Amino acid sequence: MVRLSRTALAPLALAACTIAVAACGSSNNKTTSGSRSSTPAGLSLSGLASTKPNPSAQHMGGTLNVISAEGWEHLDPQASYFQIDYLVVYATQTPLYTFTPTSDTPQPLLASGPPQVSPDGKTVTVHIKSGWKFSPPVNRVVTSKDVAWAFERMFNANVQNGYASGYFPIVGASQSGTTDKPISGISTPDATTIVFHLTKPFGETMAKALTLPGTAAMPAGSTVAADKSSPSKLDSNPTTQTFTGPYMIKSYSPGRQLVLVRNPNWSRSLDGIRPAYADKIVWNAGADPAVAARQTLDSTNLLMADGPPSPELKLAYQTKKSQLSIAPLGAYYAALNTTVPPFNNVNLRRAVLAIENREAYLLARGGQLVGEVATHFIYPEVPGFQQAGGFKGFGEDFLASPTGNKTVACKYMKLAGYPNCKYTGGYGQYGSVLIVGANTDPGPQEMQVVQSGLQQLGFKTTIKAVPQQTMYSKFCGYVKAHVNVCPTAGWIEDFPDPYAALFVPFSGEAIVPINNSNWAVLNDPVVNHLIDQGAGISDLTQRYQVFAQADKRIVDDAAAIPEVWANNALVEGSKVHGVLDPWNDDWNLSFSSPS
Amino acid sequence: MSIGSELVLESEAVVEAVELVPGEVTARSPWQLFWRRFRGDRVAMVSVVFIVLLVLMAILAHPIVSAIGVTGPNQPNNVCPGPNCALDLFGQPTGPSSAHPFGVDELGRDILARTIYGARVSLEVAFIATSAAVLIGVAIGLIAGFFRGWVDSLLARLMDVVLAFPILLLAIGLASACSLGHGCMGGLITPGQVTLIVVIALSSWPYIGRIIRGQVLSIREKEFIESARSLGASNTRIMVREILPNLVAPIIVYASLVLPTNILYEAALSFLGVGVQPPTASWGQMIAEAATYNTSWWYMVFPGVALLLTVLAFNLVGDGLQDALNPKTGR
Repeated sequence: MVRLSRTALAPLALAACTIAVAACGSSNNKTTSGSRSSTPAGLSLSGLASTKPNPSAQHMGGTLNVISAEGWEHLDPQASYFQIDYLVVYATQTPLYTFTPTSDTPQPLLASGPPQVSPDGKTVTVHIKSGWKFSPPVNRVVTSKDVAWAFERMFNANVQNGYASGYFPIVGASQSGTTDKPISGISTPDATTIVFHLTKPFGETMAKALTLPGTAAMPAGSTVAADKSSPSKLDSNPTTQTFTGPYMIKSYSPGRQLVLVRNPNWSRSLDGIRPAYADKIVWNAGADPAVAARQTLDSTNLLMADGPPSPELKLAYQTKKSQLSIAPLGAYYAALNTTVPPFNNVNLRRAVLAIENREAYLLARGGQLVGEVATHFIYPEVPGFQQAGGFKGFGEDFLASPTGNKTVACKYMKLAGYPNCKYTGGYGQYGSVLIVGANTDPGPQEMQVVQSGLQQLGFKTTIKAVPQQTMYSKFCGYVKAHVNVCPTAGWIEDFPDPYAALFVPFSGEAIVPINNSNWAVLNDPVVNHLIDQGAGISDLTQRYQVFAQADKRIVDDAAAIPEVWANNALVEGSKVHGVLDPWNDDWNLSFSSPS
Repeated sequence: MSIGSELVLESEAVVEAVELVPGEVTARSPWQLFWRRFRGDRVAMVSVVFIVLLVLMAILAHPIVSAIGVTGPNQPNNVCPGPNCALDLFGQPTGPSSAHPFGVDELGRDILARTIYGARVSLEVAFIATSAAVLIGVAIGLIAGFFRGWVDSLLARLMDVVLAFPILLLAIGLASACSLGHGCMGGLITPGQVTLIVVIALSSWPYIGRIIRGQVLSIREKEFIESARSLGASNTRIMVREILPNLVAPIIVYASLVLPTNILYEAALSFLGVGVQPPTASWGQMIAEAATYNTSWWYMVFPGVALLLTVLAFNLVGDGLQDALNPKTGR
């Protein structure tokens, strides 16, 4: 999935681009505000904002104002892979399928019906609606060749798509080239039909991945010049894109402001899903998160796209509960680099998991309103969670205590060859354990929680706090940086399937030199095999059991500390009607309406 | 043979002796006169007492914290729920209580303990950086003022160049470049406190260098220097044995004034995240972290007050020293 944004759910963040995401999927048991009555600690969840669509109370017209601390990473639909970016891309483009605020099963959007998967799982056929038009100045009807072109763009290395090779194993597709070139495994027998031929029985999984924004059509042949630069000019200047969604990007100032206006060629009746209430959407980014949260709470007409810092979350809960919403998000974990000393030793990693105070990590994020302590990597919103042990997990002793257990940690230190339970061995190139995380709250606190555990085991540590984008692009997502611990990473699945929760962050096949989201650089053949095997199984019970085995193996590998299964807290103005997308755990701008 | 400032002090001594004991002249050394004047400055004396207590507190931080009975500066009280939980349900710091008289921070660490330990960083950085700056500044100022000519031009321009550097940007750049692994310059500049000291020392020596240069330009023209030269004294001897002793007063006064500036420098750099490595406590870093928790007043107030009082005390002592060593500026 997509990387989470920094505060809200937390740092979800995958960086912009690696593999994964698709529209971060959601799951059947995701809930929004009010579906639970209280947290385990007894904080009442009643009285929170209603974030469901309410057509009778919403009206057309006006300007929807959005504010955020975080800026945008990639607004090119074929490159976009970030929670915040999705708000814009799903309002300006039209993928083949989509999830909606009220449905966690993919709904045809540009497609005219469900995808047809061949019995052997190696062919997927999609029919698209006829009559869908591109925005001005193109103004022509979208054809299947435009969808094929979108896939060709995804496999152009200059476009920097993060998930194509993981979710679309199409015959003849390779991300090694830097041109938009035909893919032999894609055929377009007529103007409304596109057929994908796959290298392996992956149809069931790929069908879900067709909700990703990269499937949004682009006028065939129109982006050749733009895609010669890296990133594509469609990304560096997204106003040059051709749009198929309800809105067009009128102006764009990176990291500062974005203005969306209506797309005159978009048809509400043909779309059938997105109401697109607002005439205009103005989004100001780069605000101080605390200031933005307070401004939003004091306003009538603001939506805050990222979550409030914990003091403002507490303030909202105590004084403006009706402007606060909370929804399950994804998972945060502290990745331990399995390829470089000292954590290339599995017992040392298990000792670190055993000593970690995960309750403290949760508190650093804002306490029980924003999640609960995790025990494994298939989180509650993902199908297959129960098969993976549910909330209890797999019962490993090194994850038994949420506040850390020195005795168990000591046991694994001894197994690693340190009889005094203190690390006395060598380090990698940094001379100490390098911990790199986001420099905005709660990143520094999370890093110190992890550091505290490491120091108890005698590790020398160095903390490097950097902007979140830098954390992904220069450190945690850059394999050669050899960062030892990335404690502020988060992940939400691209679609409701355990494959989407595990493949990108833990499969060795997903490791890429840059924009890597397998932050532990875990390349365990058993994990790789189980994930691959699960992806080809169409029987759900059997499928989930295989992914549960993969999850258990990852836990046993201690590739990361499963810290928090997170909720996303969002705030809005007193009169704006924000509608939440459970699959992205953030606002859906096409469903929200201004005051 | 060196007498410059002593001559001045001697004449002062006569005046004071006459004032104090009419009809009788009591000989006092220059340092006796200095001390007599300084101890008469009650504000400066109170400040000295404060600084002494502060230094003792920094040195004896561990037993003091143990005696008070609060948890250590880096020990998080965030094992929740339970007796070692000092955070609320939202993970927010809690205020002053019997267990934590100054409250706790966002990880449940005791603010009182961290404020006490924070004095160590401030004083260590300030004293070491100031000493280094004084050494460099005096040496270069002495050489520039004594030799004049092209040496003076070269060194004076060097000072101008250093003064023109945007120091905060330099510090941030250095800290960033040297923050990983073994640091820079073969480990000479390493992450944290050493980087802070290097940056502060490198940026503050030209101020004292300029003052010393000016003083030397004046002193080198005095008769006693000519006498020494006529007796065959070498340049080194003249600089070290004749001129340097006459610079003691300005050096002391300037060092006492630059020291609080360097404390603030350390706090500012730590505030910007360039300072000591977590979890080491530093006042500037604590204030920076507290900025996020704007409803937790105790988090910012206590390290802030400690910083304020420390800088004020050093400034007042500096003023007192200036008045005592240079009566012409007396209030």
